[in-house]
Parts: sequence; C-alpha cells; structure tokens
Amino acid sequence: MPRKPGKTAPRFSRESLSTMTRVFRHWARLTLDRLWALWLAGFEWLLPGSIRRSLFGKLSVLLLVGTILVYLVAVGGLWWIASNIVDDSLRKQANQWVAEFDELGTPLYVSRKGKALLDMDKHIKNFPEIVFVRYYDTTGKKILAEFGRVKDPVVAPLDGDYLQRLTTALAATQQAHLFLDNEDVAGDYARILAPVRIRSIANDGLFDFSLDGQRETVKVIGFIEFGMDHRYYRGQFLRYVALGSVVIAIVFLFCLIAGRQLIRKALAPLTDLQTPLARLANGETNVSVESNGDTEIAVISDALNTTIRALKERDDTLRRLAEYDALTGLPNRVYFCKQVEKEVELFAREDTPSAILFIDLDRFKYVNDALGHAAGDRLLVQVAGLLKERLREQDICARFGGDEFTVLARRAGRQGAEEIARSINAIMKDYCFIEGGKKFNVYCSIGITMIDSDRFAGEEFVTQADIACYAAKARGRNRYHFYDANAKDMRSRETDIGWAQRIKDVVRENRLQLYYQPIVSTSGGDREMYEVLLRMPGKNGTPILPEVFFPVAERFGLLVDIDHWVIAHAMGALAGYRAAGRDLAFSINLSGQVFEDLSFADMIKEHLLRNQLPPSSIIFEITEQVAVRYMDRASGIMQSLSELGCRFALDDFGVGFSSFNYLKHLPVEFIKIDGSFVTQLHKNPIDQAMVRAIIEIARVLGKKTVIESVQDRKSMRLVKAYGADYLQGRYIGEPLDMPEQPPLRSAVG
Amino acid sequence: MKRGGTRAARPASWTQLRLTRVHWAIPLLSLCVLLTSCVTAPTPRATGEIAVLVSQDSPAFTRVANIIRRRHGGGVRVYSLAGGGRELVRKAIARSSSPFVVAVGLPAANMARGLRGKRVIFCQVFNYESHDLVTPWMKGVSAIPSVHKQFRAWKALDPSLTHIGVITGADMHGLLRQARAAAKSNGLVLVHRQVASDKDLLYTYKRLSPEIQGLWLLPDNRILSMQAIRDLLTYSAKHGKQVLVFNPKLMRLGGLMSAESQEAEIAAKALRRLEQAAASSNNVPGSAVWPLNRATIMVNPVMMKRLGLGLPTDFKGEIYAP
Repeated sequence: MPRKPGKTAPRFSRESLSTMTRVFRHWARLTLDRLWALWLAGFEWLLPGSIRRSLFGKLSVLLLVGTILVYLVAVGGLWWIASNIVDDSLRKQANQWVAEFDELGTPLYVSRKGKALLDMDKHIKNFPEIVFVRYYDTTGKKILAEFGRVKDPVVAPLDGDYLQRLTTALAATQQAHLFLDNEDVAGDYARILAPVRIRSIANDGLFDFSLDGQRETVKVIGFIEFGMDHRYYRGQFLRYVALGSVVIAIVFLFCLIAGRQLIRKALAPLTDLQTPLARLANGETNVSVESNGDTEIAVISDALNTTIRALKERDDTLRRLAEYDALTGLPNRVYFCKQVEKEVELFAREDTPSAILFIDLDRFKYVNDALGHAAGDRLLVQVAGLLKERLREQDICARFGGDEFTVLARRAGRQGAEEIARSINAIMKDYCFIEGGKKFNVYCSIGITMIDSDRFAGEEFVTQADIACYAAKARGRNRYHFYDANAKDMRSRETDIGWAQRIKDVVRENRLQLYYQPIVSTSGGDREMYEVLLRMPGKNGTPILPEVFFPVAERFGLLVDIDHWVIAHAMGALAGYRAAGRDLAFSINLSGQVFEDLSFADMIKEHLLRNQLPPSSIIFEITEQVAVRYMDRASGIMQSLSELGCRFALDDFGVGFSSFNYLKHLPVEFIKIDGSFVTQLHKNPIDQAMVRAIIEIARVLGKKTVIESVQDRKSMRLVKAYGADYLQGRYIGEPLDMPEQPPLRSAVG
Repeated sequence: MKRGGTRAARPASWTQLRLTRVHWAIPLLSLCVLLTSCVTAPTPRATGEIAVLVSQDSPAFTRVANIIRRRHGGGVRVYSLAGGGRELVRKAIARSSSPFVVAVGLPAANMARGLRGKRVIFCQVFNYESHDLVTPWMKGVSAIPSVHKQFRAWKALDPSLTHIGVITGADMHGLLRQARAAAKSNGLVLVHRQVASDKDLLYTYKRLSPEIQGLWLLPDNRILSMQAIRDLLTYSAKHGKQVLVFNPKLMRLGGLMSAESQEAEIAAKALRRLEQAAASSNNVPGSAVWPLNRATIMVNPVMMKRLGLGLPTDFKGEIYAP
C-alpha cells in the first residue's frame, strides 16, 4: 500500500517488540513441543511400546531418527556435490571435445579435400557420449562435414544467422563454446556449439616480441556443433551416487550400531538399577545398589542406598514394634505365632518335632492388684529374664500377653520339653519377687504341646498349649501338663476358646443387642428408668443371655471390651430418646475389669459430653462382689463420677458378702436386692424378713432400694409395704429392645 | 629484429671456459664498433635531408631511426605514426624538401609507398611481397638476419642436421630463394610449406615433422598466434624437434637457438641504399631487398642438453640464460 505523503511510517515500540518476541518464542516452543509429541506418537504408532519401553529404546529411536536425518542430508549433499561435479565435468569435457574437434576438423578449413583426410567416425566411435559432430563454414550456411548419429534423433542444422549471432555472443563472453537449448533435440542430449577461430599476431607485432601478451587478430572461419549424450553422464552420476549412498549407508549403519552399543554401555549403570529397584518395589529392603558408575549414577545409587538403609532401619523398627514386647524385650504373640508356623512347615519337611510351652504366672494378678501395675511390670521383666537365661539359643521365648509367656523349644522331643518345663517350674519355685520390703512367691503353670504333626496350623498348636496350661492350672499351681486331645477338660477348654472367638467377632462387628427393662418408682413421681441388658445373637437368631457368654468373656479378658461397647451404644441410644422428648435414665451394668482402666472416668465424661447427657441420667450398676474385689480403684472412680453427677447402684445385694460396712464407704445411691429373695417372697417368711431388713438398713443409710425380679402382684404389694423405692421384674415390665412405657406403672403408682 | 639487450651469461660448468672466451670477444667487438663509429662520424652526404618515418615508438624501430640520424649527421627528420594523425604526417613528409624517405615498419612503408616524388627505403618489414611494397622508387632492407649465418650456426651446433623445414604464409619467394641457397651451401635440405592460418600452421607442422629434424620459425605474423607458437614449440620439444626461432624469448618455450638482426646493420644498409638512390636519377637501384649479412645467434643449453647436442669449439654466438 503506498504511503501517503506527510504521514510517518508506523513504528513498533520496544515494549510491543518485546511482547511480540515473547509471543513468538512461546508459539515456537509450543509448536516444537507439539511436533515432538506428534513425532513420538507416530513412532509409538509405528513401533508400539518402542518409546515407553525404556530409556534405552527411546534413545535408540532418537539415534535411529538422527542417523536417518543425517544420512538423508549426507546423501542430499552427495547428490548436490556429485551433480555439480558432473555438471562441471560435462563443461570441461565439452571444452576438451571442442579443442579435440577443432584440431581434428582443421583439414576441413585448410584443404579443399579436407573431408577426405578426416577419420572422425572411427575416432568418435570409441566415445559413446558423442552423438554427432557437425562442421559449418564461415557463413554458417554450409555444412562442411557431419559425423555420428545425426539422424537418430533428427538434429536439424543451425541457421546461419543464428550462428552469427551466437558468434557475437561468444566473442562478448570470451567463452569457448555454448550449450544450446534442446528444443529440437531429445532431452537426453546436450547440444554444444563452438566457433572455429584462427588468430594472427598484429602487423609488426613480432618486432619487440613479448611472451606476456601480443595483440592478435581473431577471425571465425567456421563452426563446430556436436551433441553429448546426457544419459552417459547421468548414468555415471547415478552409479557414483548410488555407490556413495551405499557406502555412506554402511558407514552410518556401523555408526548406528556403534552408537547403540555406546548408549547401552552408557546406560548400563542405569539399567543395573532396574533389578534392585524392582526388588525394592516388591518390599525387599535387603537390597544394595552398585555405586561405582558415572558421577550422576553414583549420586543416584548413593541416594538409593541411603533410602534403602533408612527403609531397612524403619522396617526393623516397625518389625521390632510389631513383633517385640516393649516391656520385656521378648518377641510378642505375632512373632511367636509366625515362628510356630515356620516350625510346622519345617516339621513337614524334616519330620523333627518341637515343643510349645505355654506359661501362665499363678499369682501375678495378686501381685498386680496388691502392688500396682508398675510392680507387676517389674515382675514380668524379671520373669522374662529368668526364662531367657534358662532357654537354649535356638529356642524362642515370647510374652504372649498379660502374664502369659510362651516358649518354642526347637528340635525338642517330649522328654526334652518335659525337662525344660520342669526346670522352669524349679526356677520359679526358687524365685522370690521382692517389692516394697515384701516377698512374693510367684509360680507358674505350664501347658505343653508337641509339634509332631502337620495336621494343625501354628495357632492351633498354641491353643493346645494354652488349653494344657489351663489344665495344669486346674490341677494345682506350679506344674506342667501335656496337651491330650482325648481328655475331657481339654475339649471343654476348646469350646471356651471357640466362644471367646465368637464374642470377639460379635463385638468387632457391632452385633451385640441392647434390651431395656423398666424400673418403676413405688412413689410414682420419678423419671422413667430402664436397666440396659445385653444379649448376644445366637446362631438361629435367638438372643443369648449374658450368663452364657460372660464367664468365657471374663476368662478371656473380653469384659472390658463389652463394657465399652455397652456404654457407648446405651448412651447413644439414650441421647436419641432424650432428643425425642423423653426424660429417661439408663442403668448400665459394669464388670469389675473396667476398674483396671484408670482412664475409665475420663471416657465416661467424654461420652456424656459427646451425647450431651446429664450425668444424673446414667446409673452404673456394679455387683457387690466387684465392689469388694476392686474396692480401692472402684471407690475412687465411683467418687469421681459421682461428683460429676452420675449415680451408682449396688447390684445383686444379699447373695455375696452382704456387708453393710462396704455400704458406708461406697458412694452408691441404689441398692438392688437380688432377685433370689423376691421370686418366692410371698411364700417364704425368711425372704420376707431379709428383704424387709435390707430395706430398713438402706433407708437408715440413706440409700434407695430396687427390688429385682418382681414376678407377681403379691410380691409387689409386699415389697411396697416394706418401703421399697423401686421395682423391677417381669410383673413390672419385660426386657424389650426399646424402652416402652411400663404397663403396670400406673398400677404400681 | 633486435633482441632486448645483452644478457648476462650463466653457462653450465662445461661451457664456462668457452664462455669466458666469448666474453673476451664481446668487449673487443664493442670497442671495434665504437672506433668504427668514431671514424665514420656524421658527415654531410649527397642525400641531403632524409625523412625517417617510424610505424611506432617501439625500440626496434626508434633504434634504427636514431642510428640513421646519428650516422647521417644533420638533415634527418623523424616522423612517427604512433600518435595518430596519419594524414598530417603524410602531408608533412610530402611537403618536406627531402626526396628520400626511410620507412621503418610495415605501416610506415605502406604510407610511404603512396608518397609521390619520394624515393623510399623500407626496413623492418617482413612480408613486403604480400603488401606489394617493392616499386622502382621503393626498395628495402631485409628484416631477416643473415640466413646463411643462421644455417651455418645451426649446422655447427648439430652437424647431423640435414633436413629442416620452414612454414610461411603466401608470397615469401625472395626470402625462400635466399633460404634455399643458404641451406644448400650449408648442406641442408629446406622443406617449405605454405599455410594460411595459425590453425593451419599447427596442422601442417604436425604432418611435416616426420620429414624434418628441425623447423626454422619465421616471424610471419599472418600465420602465427601466441597459442600456435606455444603449441608448436611444445609439440617440438615433446617430439625432439629442433626449432630455430626469431627471438631469444621463445627459447623459454623450447626453441633451440635464436637469430636476430642488428639495427646498426639495417640502418647502415638503408643509408647506403639511399646514397645509391641519390646517385641514381629517379629510382632506387639494385635488388628489391638487400639481405643482411650479420646475425646475433644465441643457443638454449637446456634444449641442447635435452637434444643431446654439444657446443662447438668455434661457436661465435651467445648462450641464452634467462
């Protein structure tokens, strides 16, 4: 577009140029990235997996591509150079031929019978590239002679005027010859024209002769025209290019192979990392990486070795934590069971028996209760030391749990196991635990089972030893007992173990069921109260009463878990009912084992807070036996929760110690008179006297009384007449899975 | 034709002694020439004033004119065609009172031929026949050094020499007659070929060469080009042919020996012919062209060695040492 006068040309500012440059760079980078991605995708399409397979494969592909590109460039360069050389050669050849034909054709211009003197056909016959030769006279109109294949193809003679013009052009350019256009000749021929010149030194030029230059007169006396066959040179050219291409291809192939080998060698340290890294990925930490490669690889190898060491140390720590007891330093139950499994497998291969000893300290609970947990821990540490000293190097001693220890006596027969058990009994008999100036004799019961079969799993062998230990304990303290699969007590013990597993499963799977039995006030003015009762689902759907599974749970230490489950679910349910507008209070039974947990009170506070329950809505029931057994701890926890607002009821009062002295020290608000006094109350005057007396004393002590198991109207009237505060029983209301309004509440009221 | 100047001789070792003798001879000869020139100091001649017309200002022509002027004394007027103005020069000579003109070189001779009433002596013209320069009032002095001396020296250099060739353009009858006679007197057979161009020269020479042992290369500018000279000498050297050249510079290209004329002799002969013309009525008496009696001979030791020739003891020439 023409620029208008007076207007300046538009100029780009430095900022706009900079922006344009950045945009262009960004665009170029994007384009290159896309091209590269397209290139890789193309290769991936051609050779699936060739690029992703490995770094070596990728580099090999790049090497191949680079080699092909360089090869193409080299062949292109060869083609270009060769074509230029051929072209140059053709021109030089033309020059030579012009000189040759000029000399050969001299007779035509110096003799009238010159043509007869020529032997041109014979001469050019040996040169296939020469198609024809033609000589013209000085006017260019007369052909003096012509030779070769002038008629195949037909080559028309040149026009005389045209020749004259060419002569002028040649004189201007000082060229020896001209390549003519091939319009009238087949394209395979080059048609060349050259004037035939004679020269003479100027007049008087030979006086003061000089070799450096003489003025000469040039005169054209004729023309030479000849055709050169391109195909000859082209054929030669193609042959040389093809040969050169093959040679270059061989060189490049060699370079490619060598390059591939070099890449393989260069990547060898990296490739060597594959195996250890794969093992590491599979979880093995017993792996070492060679670090004597190149600097970059050595850095990676060192870092990997450091990481592997750290992983190994962490694994060791975790394994120690997982497989060893922090208190005694002995292997724990997990590790012990694994070793037993291995021992069973070993027996299957080598048929060499081993023995498992299950050791239970007889008076540990007493020491623990009497002196506290710290003393109990010290006792366990000392016993662990004694056991380790006694055992052989190949044996394994583990703390199985609580006050239970296990020993795997490897390659020990029945007699050897018996000797080990006897010696442990002897050691424990001589052992005396001293704490706080007091001496305690702590014995142990040992159950032994032999790994002499591969029919059982490792855990089953451990259970057998446990059962045998139970039997030893039942037969008296500080003794050992071999497991006998046919013994009756052993089968019973096996049943208990089955029950314990079922209880664990039900608790873990939240399948325990809560039932609610109403407790009504004889005065009728209090809030609704329900005792929370526990049922375990049976195999056929029938609820199993606690009396059935509690003893097993107590023996296997599962009562704490059950208590926690009941507290959490009962408080959750109570919160729901209260949110629905009902002013309820739940009475929850506690086992004695919860008092071994010093954080029990905190746990209750947390549940109350979480469910936004008033503490007064919770009544904890403990049996008289539990209260007496855990008097110290129980009173403290009860005091703490009472201060919070929770209330306590002393359950089953009258069947145990029936010690009114305890009542004075325990912060209980309710005394629940055991149902055995009430079921036949209207028929049995002794029961009547007992109930009346307990009610009287409770009233004096300021406690409220709850009469359990009220079965009929007569009993209800009697206890009401005695002054009982609350009633509970089938006559008052059946346990239901929901706390419903008791039907006899109004009657009681 | 005149060589460019005296060259320092640097012979091969075996020629050292002979060269020393030659060197003794050169100063003695020079001294004689000097004494002769002193004895023949310019004196008034019967020719009166002479017009000397030179084709160009090249040394080969001006030296001749200068010698004429020096020998003739006063009354010599030199005209030159070098600066152009040919017509002015022609008119000036035509108007001059001198009836005698010495034309040096072919263009000068061509111009002088048209001067009416003048008697002309031309020199330094080779192919005078083809230009029809010889008339009753116009005669010349040969440009070719003594042919007899050339052939004698050549024969002395190579006693086995019997057949020599010469290639010329057209119309060289006078020279050829003289050459044949000289060849015969020296025991040589002269084979002549006439050609029309440099191209023809080479072609003819290649066919002639089997018949001859050596070529007498004449300075015929019509058939010579630089390329033809080079090709001819190269061919000769390659095929062991001896070439007697007209200029010592050509020995660098393969010439065996060279023969040059001497300007002093040319000038002296031109003056003598003028004196004869002055004594005559209107024409220039005598033959068309006076041949020269002297020749400056030089040999090429490299080619001699290559051709297996030795330097004769009585060799009077010079050794070419470029």
